[in-house]
Amino acid sequence: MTKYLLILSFLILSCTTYAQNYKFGKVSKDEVAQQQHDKDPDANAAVLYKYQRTYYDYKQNTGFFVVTEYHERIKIYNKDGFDWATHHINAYKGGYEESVSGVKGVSYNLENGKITETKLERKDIYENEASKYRVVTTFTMPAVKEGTVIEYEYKKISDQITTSMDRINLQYSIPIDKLSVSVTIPEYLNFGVYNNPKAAFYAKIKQGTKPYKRSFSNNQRNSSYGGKVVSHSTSNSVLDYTQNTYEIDQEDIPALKAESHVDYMDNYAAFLDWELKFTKFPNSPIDNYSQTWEGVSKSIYNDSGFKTELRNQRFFDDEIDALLGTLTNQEQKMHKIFNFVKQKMTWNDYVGYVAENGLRESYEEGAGNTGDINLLLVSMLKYANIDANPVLVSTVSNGIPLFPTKNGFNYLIAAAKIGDKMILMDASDQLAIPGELPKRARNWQGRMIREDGTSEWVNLQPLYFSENKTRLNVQLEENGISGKYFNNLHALYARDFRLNHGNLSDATTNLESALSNYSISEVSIENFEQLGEVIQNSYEFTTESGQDVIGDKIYVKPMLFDVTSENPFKAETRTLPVYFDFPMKKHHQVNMLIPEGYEVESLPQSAMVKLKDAAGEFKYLVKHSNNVIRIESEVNLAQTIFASTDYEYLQKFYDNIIKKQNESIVLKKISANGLEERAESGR
Amino acid sequence: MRKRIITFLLLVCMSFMYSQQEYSILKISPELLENADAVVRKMHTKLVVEDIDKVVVYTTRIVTVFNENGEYFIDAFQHHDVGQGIEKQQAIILDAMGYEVDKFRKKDFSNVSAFGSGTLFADNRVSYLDYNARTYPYTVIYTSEFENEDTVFLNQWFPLEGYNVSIEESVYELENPDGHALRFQENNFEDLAIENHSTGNHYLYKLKNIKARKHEDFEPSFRNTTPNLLFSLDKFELKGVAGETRDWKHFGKWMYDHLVAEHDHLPESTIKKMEDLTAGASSIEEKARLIYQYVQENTRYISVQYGIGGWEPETAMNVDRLGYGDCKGLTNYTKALLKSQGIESYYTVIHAGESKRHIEPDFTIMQGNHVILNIPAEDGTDLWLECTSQTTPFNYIGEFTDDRYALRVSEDGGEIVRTKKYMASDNVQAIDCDIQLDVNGNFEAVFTRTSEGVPYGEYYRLQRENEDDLKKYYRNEWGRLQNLNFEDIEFHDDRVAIQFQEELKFSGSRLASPAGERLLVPLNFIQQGNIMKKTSQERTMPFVFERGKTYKDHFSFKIPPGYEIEALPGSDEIASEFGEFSINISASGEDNSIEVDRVLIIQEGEWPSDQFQNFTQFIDKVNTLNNLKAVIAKSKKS
Repeated sequence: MTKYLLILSFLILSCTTYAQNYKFGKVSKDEVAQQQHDKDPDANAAVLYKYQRTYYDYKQNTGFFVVTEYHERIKIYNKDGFDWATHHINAYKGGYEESVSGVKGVSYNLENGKITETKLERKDIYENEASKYRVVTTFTMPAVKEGTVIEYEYKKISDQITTSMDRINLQYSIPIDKLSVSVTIPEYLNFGVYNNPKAAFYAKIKQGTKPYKRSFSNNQRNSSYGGKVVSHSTSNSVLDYTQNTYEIDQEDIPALKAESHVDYMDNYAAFLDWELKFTKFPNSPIDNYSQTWEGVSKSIYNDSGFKTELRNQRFFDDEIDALLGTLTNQEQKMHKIFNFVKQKMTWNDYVGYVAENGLRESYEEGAGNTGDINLLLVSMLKYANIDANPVLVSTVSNGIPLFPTKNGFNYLIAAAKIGDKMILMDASDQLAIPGELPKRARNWQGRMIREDGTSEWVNLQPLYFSENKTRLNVQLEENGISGKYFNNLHALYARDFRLNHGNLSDATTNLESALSNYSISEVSIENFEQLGEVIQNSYEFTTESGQDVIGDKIYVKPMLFDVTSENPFKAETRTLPVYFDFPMKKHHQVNMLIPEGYEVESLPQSAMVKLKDAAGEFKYLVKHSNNVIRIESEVNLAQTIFASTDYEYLQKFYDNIIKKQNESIVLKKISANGLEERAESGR
Repeated sequence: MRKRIITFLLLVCMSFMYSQQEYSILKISPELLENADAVVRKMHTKLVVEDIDKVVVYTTRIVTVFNENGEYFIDAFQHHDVGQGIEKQQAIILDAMGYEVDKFRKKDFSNVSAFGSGTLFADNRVSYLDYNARTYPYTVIYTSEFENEDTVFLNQWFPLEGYNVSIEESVYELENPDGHALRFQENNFEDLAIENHSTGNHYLYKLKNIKARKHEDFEPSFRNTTPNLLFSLDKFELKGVAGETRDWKHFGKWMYDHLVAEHDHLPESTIKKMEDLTAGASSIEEKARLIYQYVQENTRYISVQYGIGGWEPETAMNVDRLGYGDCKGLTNYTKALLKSQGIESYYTVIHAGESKRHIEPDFTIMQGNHVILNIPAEDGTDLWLECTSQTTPFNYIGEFTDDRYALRVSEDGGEIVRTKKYMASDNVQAIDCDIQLDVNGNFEAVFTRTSEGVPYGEYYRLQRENEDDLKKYYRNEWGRLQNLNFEDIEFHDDRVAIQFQEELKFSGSRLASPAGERLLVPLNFIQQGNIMKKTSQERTMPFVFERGKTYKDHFSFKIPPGYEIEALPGSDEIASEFGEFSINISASGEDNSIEVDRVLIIQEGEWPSDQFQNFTQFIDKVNTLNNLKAVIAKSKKS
C-alpha cells in the first residue's frame, strides 16, 4: 500500500515539473495559442492564474501597514470576453488610507507563430475620483483580440491593520485555472478563516508559521537654542516575531453560472472571510474580539447609541400625544404610529443599523437611513407604552454571516409585542403594513435586542399563505366569448401588485392593455391605496378569438387568458437551490355557460398532484351540471426554498399544471339527427 | 425678550396663513394637473452673446414634482469641463404650499463625471442637485449662471419636454448686443401658439399652458415632431479653436481641418501589413472588405472621451498601438488604413439610434452622437462601415444608422448625405419547418429561419451565444412551446450576402392540445411578427412604422399514424394600406400532412390618428387568423 502511494506521489511530482510557468512575463505559446477552455468550452475568458499575497510590514514612524500584491493572467477566447481586459482598482481614503502602486501590464498575442508583447503604458492608466471616499484606478489592456493573453500586477497598501480583513474572492463568472493565495499575519493578530458554506467548493487552507525579523536604526538629533545641531546619537532596535501563514493552492475552479429563482447570486461564489479573534501585543494583555451573537448584539446596542437614542423622546412627544389622543388599544396605537413614521420619514436609500443622522436630526429633516427610521419607530412605540425593540437584520445582498460579527448585520427593523403576538415592522418601505417586510429584509433571521442589552433570534420569513383568487364567469358563443373577471389579491400578492404597478391609474391602464386579443372594459380596482386590504380587481372582457369553432364543434381552454402556459423552470439541470418569495396559493374558478344548441362532447378529467412533504399541491376539479361547467384549479406552495436535488420534481410539478390547464373543453352542436351522431362518436 | 420672539413668530405664522405663496400647487390650473408627473412652472433660458468665445447662460427652472416619475424633470444640473467653474448655481425646495423648506448652494451640488463607469476617461463633469424628496408634491427653484466658452454649442429650446409633464411657461431669450452674425431655425412651430416678441438683436420666444399627455403606441419620435428652436453663431469657438458655421461646406471643412486632418499617420509596419493583406484583391470593395475585417479582428470599442471637447478622434497611430478606441478613433483608424491602400473614405457624423434622427440638412450646427465611415461610389451604391463593432458584416449598418441624413467631412468641406435605406422587401424573415406530431400532441421539428436586412442585425448575434444560453433563449422566445429539447442548433452566417440562417432540430410536448379524443393543432407553429394590440384608449397622435418588414413561413405538419384530419380551417387573406396577410392551408400527401403558407407584410409609413381604428382592425384580423387550428382525430377507416 505504501509503495503504491509513493509511486503515485512521484507521478504527481513529475507532472508538476512540466506545468506552466506562472512568473510575470513567462506566458507560454500554448497559452496564447489555446482556442477554447479545455474544461469549459463556453467560457468567453478564463483566469489562467490568479495570485494574491497579503502581508504585514512595519515602518518605524507609522507602525504596521498591510500590503497586498495582485497578479492575474487572463486568457480572452472571444469578443464577449473583452470586458475582462478592463480592470478597476478601488482605493479608499478618509478613515483609513489605501494606495495603489506598481501597476504593470502586458498583452500577449501570436503573430506568425511568435509571441508579441504589448505593454500597458503609464499614460493609458487613469485615475478617477469616484467619490469623497474612493479613488478608482482604471486601465484597459492594449492590443486585445480574440486569443490574447493579458497579464497585470499591482500592489495595494493600506494603513488599516487590526479591525478586519477584506473578503478574498475565490470564484468568478469565468473559470480560474490556478489560484494561489497567501496571507501572512503577525502573531499579535489572531484571525479565524472561513469558507463560504453555500459555495460549490471549499478551498483547502494550508496553515503554518514563519519568522519576521527586522532591525531599525534610530537617528536622534539634539539641537541647541540656535537651531544648530550639537549632537547625533544612533540607537538600534530589532523587531522580531512569528507570523501565521495561510496558503491556498487550488486548480480548476469552475465558473459561477447564474440561474433563475435565486435570492442573490454573489452569495454562492466561493470566498474566504476573516474573523479577528483576539490581539496579543507584547507587554499588553489579550484583547478579545471573538464574539457570540449575544455579544455582538450587545456591543451594537451599546456602541451604536441605541440606548441614548431611545431615551430621548422629547422632540416628538407632543406630536405623538396629539396623534394618539385618548386611544388605548395597543394595536390601534401601533398602526397609527407606524403610518405616522412612514408618512413623515423618507428613506434615503441607505441601509444600516446605526442611526447615521441621529433620530432628532433625521426627524426634523424628514429623511434618514433604515437605522434612523426604524429606531425612531421603536422609540415612538415605546413612548406609547408598547413593548417594542429593534431587530438587527442582514439584507439579502449582505448574505448570511459565517461567524458572529457586527458586519453580519447591516439593517434594522422594529418588533412590537402585543399580547403574545410579535409584529415586525419596516417603516422605510412605503408599501408595508405592520407584519410585512420588504424583500430586502427577508433574509436569514433577525436578532432582537431588548432594553437591557439581552437579545434573541426572531424569524423573518412569512409563514402564512398569500392568496391570489380569480373567478371567471364566461359566456361562450360561436362568434366569441364574453365574461367577467374577478381577482382578489391578498397579503404579499397585493404588495407585489402595488409595487409592480406604482399607482392606481397605471394599474388601471396596465390591466386594460394586458391582454392583446381581448377588449377590456369596466376595469375596477378596489383598495389599491388601502395597504393591508385585499385588492379586488374586476373587469369585463370580450373576444372573437378565445375559442376555436371548427366544423360543428367549439374548442376552448376553460381558463382562457389566465392559463399557465410557460414553465418557469426551463433549464434541464440545476445547481443552486430554488427560491420563491413567499408561501402562496393561487386559485381559479371558472363558471362557463354552454351556449344554446350545444352539448358537452368531452371535458378534461379532474386531477391532483402533490409535491413530497406537503411542500406543494395542485388540484384541478371539473364539474358539469345542466348548462354550466365549473372548473376549479388550485396551486399552492407551502415551501419557499427547494434544494437543487428537488429541481426535477418542481419542474414536473409545473409541467403537470400546464398540461392540465391547457386541455380543451369540446362542445358539439346538437344536430337534428342527434341519435345517429351520438352513436358514431361512441365508437 | 423671550416673549417678543414668540409674538414675532406668531405674527409670521399668521401672515403665512393668509398669503398664498407664488409657487403653491393651488395656483396650478387644474387642466395642467391631468396626466402630469410634474409641472414646469417656469423655464427661462437666457443667452447673452458677449463675444464669439463667451456666451453667458442664465437658467431659471421651476418645477413642481408630483411623484417619483416627475423627478426626471427637475433637471437641475450644469455640465462643465474639468478645471472650468460654474458662476452661480442654487436650488430652493418649496413644499406643496410654496414655502421654502430647503436650500442648496453651489457647494451642496454633487459633482460627478458626465459619463458612467463604462467610460475609461472623460474630461466632462456635471454638477447636479441630489435631493431626497420627503413628500410629494414639492417644487424646485433652480437658478444658474454659466459662462460658455465653447460657443459652437448654444442651448436649444425644446419647450415641450416629454410625456406626462405640463408646461406653465417656457421662455427662451437670446441677447446679441454686439450684433454677432448668427442664424436660427424654428422647427415644428405650426401647431402651437408660440409667441415671438423678438426685436432687433434681442430674440424672445414664449409658450404657455401646455397640457401633459401620455405616450401612445407607435407614435412618431417626440424629438422630431415637437417645437424646437436652434441658434447658431456664424463664428464660434470650441476649446479655443475658432471656426465658422455659415454652411455645411464651411463647417465640414473646419471639422476636417481641426479634428480629422493629420490624424491618419500609421506605422510603416502596419502599412506594409495592409499591402500584404490586400495584395491579391483587385476591386476597391474587395480591398476595403479585407481591411475592415482586419480592423474588426484587431481592435475593440472602448469609450475614451478626450481631445477637443470630446470631438477629436484619437490618432491612428495611437489606435494602432492600443488596439482600442471610441467611434471617432476607430473610424479614423479604418479611414487611415484604407487611405494607405489608395482608397478614399470619409469620416461621417450621424445621430445613431433605432429611431431615425437626422442631422439638420438645412441648418448648420454642431450635431450628432456617432461617427461612421463612408466609401462613395459613383453609381450611388456607397459603402457604409460601422467601425465600432467587431462582428457586423462589411457594409452593414442596420437600424443603428440607416436611412437618415448625416454630415460627411473631407478636405473639400462638409456635405449632407443620406445613409442606406432598408425596404420592407429587404427586411425578410423566412421560416421553413417540418413538424412531426405524435398521438399525445408532442412534436419533433426541423426548423430553418433565414433573416435578412434589419432582422439580420437582431439575429446574427445568436451565433456567439453558448449552447446553454441559446437553449434558454429559444425556450423563452417560444415560451408557449412546452419542454423544448434541442437536438441540434446550427447557424450559417453568410457575411457577403448578409443573410443569417438558424437551423434547429428540436422536440417538445403538447403542441397539439387534447380535446377529448381529438387533438387541436395550432397552425402557426412559430408566430412571427406579432403586433400586440394595446388598450383601446382614445387616439390623438399619428402612428408610424419606421421600417417595413416581411415574414414568410412554411409549416408542414405530419400527423401521427392512425390519425386523420377531421377539420381544416379555410385559407384567407387580408390587404390594407398598413400591410398584407395571407394564410394558405391544405392537406397533402395521403391526407397525412397539413401544409401551411403564411405571409405577413408590415408597410413602412406614417398615418394620421383617425386611421388608427382601421389599423387595429387589421391587427385584430391578423391575430384571429394567427390562432387558427386544425382538428385531427383517430382514423375511422381502420
